[in-house]
Formats: sequence, C-alpha cells, structure tokens
Amino acid sequence: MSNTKDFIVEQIKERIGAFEPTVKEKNIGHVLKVSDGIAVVSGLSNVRMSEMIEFKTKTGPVRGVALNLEEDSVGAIVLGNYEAIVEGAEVTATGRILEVPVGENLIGRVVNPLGEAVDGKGDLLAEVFYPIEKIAPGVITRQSVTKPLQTGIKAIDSMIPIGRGQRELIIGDRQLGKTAIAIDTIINQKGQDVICVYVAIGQKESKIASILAKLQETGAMEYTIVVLAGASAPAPQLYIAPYAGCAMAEYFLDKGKDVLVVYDDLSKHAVSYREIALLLRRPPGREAYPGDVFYLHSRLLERSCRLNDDHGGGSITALPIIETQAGDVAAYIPTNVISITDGQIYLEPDLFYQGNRPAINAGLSVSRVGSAAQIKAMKKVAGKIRLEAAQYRELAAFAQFGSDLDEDTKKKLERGKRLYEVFKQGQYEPIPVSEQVIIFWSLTNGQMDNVPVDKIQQFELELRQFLRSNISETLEEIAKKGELSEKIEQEIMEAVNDFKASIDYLV
Amino acid sequence: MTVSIKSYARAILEASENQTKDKKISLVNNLLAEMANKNILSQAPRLIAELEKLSDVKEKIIRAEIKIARQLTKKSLDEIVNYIIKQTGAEQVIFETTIDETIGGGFIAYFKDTIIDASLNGSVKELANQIGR
Repeated sequence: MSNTKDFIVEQIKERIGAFEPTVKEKNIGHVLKVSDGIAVVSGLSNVRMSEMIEFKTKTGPVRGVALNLEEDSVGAIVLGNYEAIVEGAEVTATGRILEVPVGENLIGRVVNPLGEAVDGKGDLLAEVFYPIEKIAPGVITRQSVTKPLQTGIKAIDSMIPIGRGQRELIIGDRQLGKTAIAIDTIINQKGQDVICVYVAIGQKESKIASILAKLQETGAMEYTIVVLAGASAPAPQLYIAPYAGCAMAEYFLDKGKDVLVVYDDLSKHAVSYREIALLLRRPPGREAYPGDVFYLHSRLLERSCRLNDDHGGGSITALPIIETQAGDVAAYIPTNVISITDGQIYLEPDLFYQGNRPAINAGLSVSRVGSAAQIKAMKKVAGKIRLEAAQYRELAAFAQFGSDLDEDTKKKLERGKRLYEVFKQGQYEPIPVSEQVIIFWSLTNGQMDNVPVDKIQQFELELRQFLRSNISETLEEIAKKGELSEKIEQEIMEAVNDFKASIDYLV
Repeated sequence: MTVSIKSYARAILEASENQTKDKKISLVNNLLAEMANKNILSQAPRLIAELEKLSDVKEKIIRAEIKIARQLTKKSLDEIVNYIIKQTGAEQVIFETTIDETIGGGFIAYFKDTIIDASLNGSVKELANQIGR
C-alpha cells in the first residue's frame, strides 16, 4: 500500500518537476469595433496575413482570422459568437494559421467549418490538425489524370468523363439537378476506395437534412464527411468552409488515397467573401466583388491534383458547383470558375423542362481531360456519342420546319431520339460502368433501332436485369479489365439477342 | 484626400529635423493653420500622442507598465528593465509599476502591443495546460 502511495507521489513530483517555466511574450491588440462577424483591432503589429487570432470574452476565447493588415489597425473575421466580443477586449495573435481537425474519425460525421461535430454524435477525438490554407502541390509532385472516377451517370461517363484529380464544374440555374449529380457521384463511389467530402456552403438546412438522409440510406456516409456551413451561418464560416473541406481531403491525399470533394456551391462562397470584403472596406470591383475573387477560387481548386507515385499517388477530385442566374454563364463568377476548372457540365433549363434528366447540354459541356479518363471499353462504345448527341439537337431543330428529309438524316434523328432516351436517368440511381458499356454498345450497334422510342427506358431497365442474372461474369470482367475484347463483344451480342427474343414490343 | 493624424505627425517630425528654432516654429504654425483649415484642430491631443510614439521609436524608448505582486527592490526592478531591454533592443525603458497580488509572483510587462508574462500565475496556467494535454 505504502509502495503504491510512494509511486503515485513520485510520479506527481516527476511530472511537475519536469515542467520548465518560460517567459511568454505575446503580441496583443484591443478591439476597436465589431460588426457582422468582422472586428477591427488596434495593436497586433506583428500579426501576419491569415494568422489565427483569439478574442478574450467572458464566455471563453473566440477564434478569428486576420485578413486586413492596415497602418493602424487589423481587420479580422470572427469565427464564433461575435456578440460576446466587447469593445476594448484583448486580442492575441497565435502565430499559427487556422487549423481544422482531420483524420479517419471524421468519416461518417457532419462537422462545421471549424471541424466541430454538429450531428449530435458526440465530440470528435482528432489528434491531427491541418491548416486550412496550404500552397497547392507543385508541378514536380503531380502526374496527369488518367484514372477514371465513375459518376454512374450515363451521360457523364460516356460524353464528359471525369478523372481522378480533375476539377469538373457543375453549372446551371437553380433547381436543375446540380446537387443531384454530385450526390449521385458520391453514392456511386461505394466500394471504389474513394473518400468523399461534401461541403455545403450557404445551403438550406432542410436540403442538407434530406441529402444526409439519402447518403445514410445508400450507405454513402461510410466513406463521406459532410462539412456544413448552412444558410444561417455567418459569412466568415461560409468563407472558410471549402478550405476546411479541402484540408480534410488533403489528409487522405497524403495517405495516398483518392478523394472526391464537392463544393456546393462556390457562387454562395463568392457572395460570402464579397460580404466580408465590403465590411472590411476593401475596394469593390465588378459586381461589387473584391479584386482578388479569382484568387479566392483558383487557390482552392489548384489544391485538387493527382500526385505521382513518388508522392503517394493519391488524388483529390473536385466537383465545384456554380449557380447561374437566368442561364447567364458569362457572369463574373461563372466565367472565373469555368476558366479555372478542367471542364464543365452545363445543365440547361430547356432540356430539364422537356423531361431530359439529368439535363446535360452535350454541346456546352466539356471535359478537358477527355477520353484519357475513360476505360477502354467505354472509349470504344461511346467514342462518337458526344458528336451524335450534338448533331441530333441541330437536326431536330431543323426538322421542325417539316421539310422532306433524306434517309440518312431520318436515321440520325431516330438514333438521336433513342440516345436522348438512354441518357435519361433517375435521381440516386447510378449505373455501374460495365452495364453502361453494354447499353451504349447496344445503341451504337443498332440493337435499339427496332425498339420504340417510348419503350427505350423499359428496354434498358429490363436488359440490365437480364444481364445481371445471365452474364454477371462478363459484367465483372468488363469492370475489372476495362476492355471490350472480341470474345466479350460476342457474349454481349448473344445476350442482347436472347433478351430481345424474350420481349414483345419490338417493331 | 484625407491625411491621417499619424501622417501629419510623421511629416512635421521629418521636416523639422536639423532645422533652426525659427524654422521649426514656422513649420508648427503652418501645420496648425492647415489643421484649422481642415477643421481638425480638435485632433491636436492625438497629434501629440503620435509625436511621442514616433519620437520614442526613433530614440528607442519603451514606455512600459510593469505589474508586480509586491513592492520590489531597485535591484530586482533593474533586472526586469534589463530583461526588457535585452528582449526588445530598446535603449531606455520608462516604466510605471502597479501592484497586483493576483499574479502570485514574478512580473507582467505591458508595452506597445506586447505582453511579457513572467508571472507565477502564468506559469501555473501553462503547467495546467501541459498536464491537461
């Protein structure tokens, strides 16, 4: 008993004795004014740009970030309850960039942009912290994008393929299904060894709740982190949200993993930055955005990359979303983000209201990585689909005049109608790439030419069921090898013919 | 263009350097006339404070407030001042002391926008932080 007591006492003495008191020098300032999440502070002469600062309040310290370094004062954003900060309150520079917790513990959780859990499942026990601002990986550490990231959406995987490490913008007016594409892509990553980060910036919390419910229902939360800065969050939180999400993704990138980050949406992010900049009295430019609004997004999206094998071989794929006003893709923020990204998926209202969902405009959508990010099998069957889709829309507009059409044009129109029917796809119904390959194979090889246009979707659905129950090994082989050998093509042809023999609606 | 009080202070200090007494008087008169024209004569106390600050920077003078737990001997105070001089590179420290028993021991020096915390209370807090981690 005595030995135990002595041991404990010895341990306490040892622990306290090991402490070496040091003289602490702190750079401090005092709050001059606080308003709308912004504080102006005097002093802090040694503070650096983007350095984290701490406001002393009665309810404990509140974090902020120094953004404006002026001759006599420092302008800072407040990342907590700014109402607790009083005039004259002491502010301390921390000497560190703002950091957020990162790691495996975050997977399956919903966190705010400061990395604090907001899902009611208890506090996060993170041991690793990453700075939210980081210089993007340099050219020496990167390699070109060659590995596909399957979205499970036929129109995208066939015409606008996305590669791991690519930045593909999803752009369109409100309520056209931009978020739906991003969520479908996340759902389709199940079993693909991809970690997903969904960053909600200024979204309605009701919308986030339904997205979360869908992600949970489909099992996607097992590999997804949700960073939530809702519509009611103050502008500084919206501003840091995408950087925080990117920092969380970078942890997995450093571990050599593939990550998909969805920024939903960067229009609201730019608006929140405009609000901060105007409150900090920075000079407004076009559409009242500050002069560095391009850098705001370029420095974020440049952090998406595919590292070479010497640097772990991981990747961050970014799907930024931009909401346009009345289809105006030539506005300031849309053009900025279009020029930064490696392509865009443009959603068109006319297509949406005609019932083509996802309403992807094949002509205006592009992937600058192109077929390098497609498996060989998809490349083989979908090589000309983009051209056919664009030609069909032109011909369809021409054919409305009712003039006599030659056989070739009629054939193209019929094929185009079927193609657009094939592109139609329900929400939250991603299709495996091997099944997509067979659908496009059937279409391009004329196997759907005798299927009535209004039966195409039924035909496709039943064909997929037939394939899964009859040639599942072939499907697995396509997914595994990514190639379409003569033998496989023969098997597909036999299976499609068998299936067609079993249906009664062919013409 | 609005000229800040700090800029007026810097300008008058630079302009009157190595000047005769008459010239300095003339410069001051000009400055006051300019401030009167712009209706900012009420800012004169701020101007004086800025002049003191700039002069202190130039002459490497630090004005500090030193918080101590109990009255110290002159030797101890000199040691504190020497420590501040060593840390800041100042040539002179003009200081006022205040007694605050809550700091336990040691001292806390406040100057410009810097705090040097060498108090017992600060060390105990740091120890608690380290053990709590």
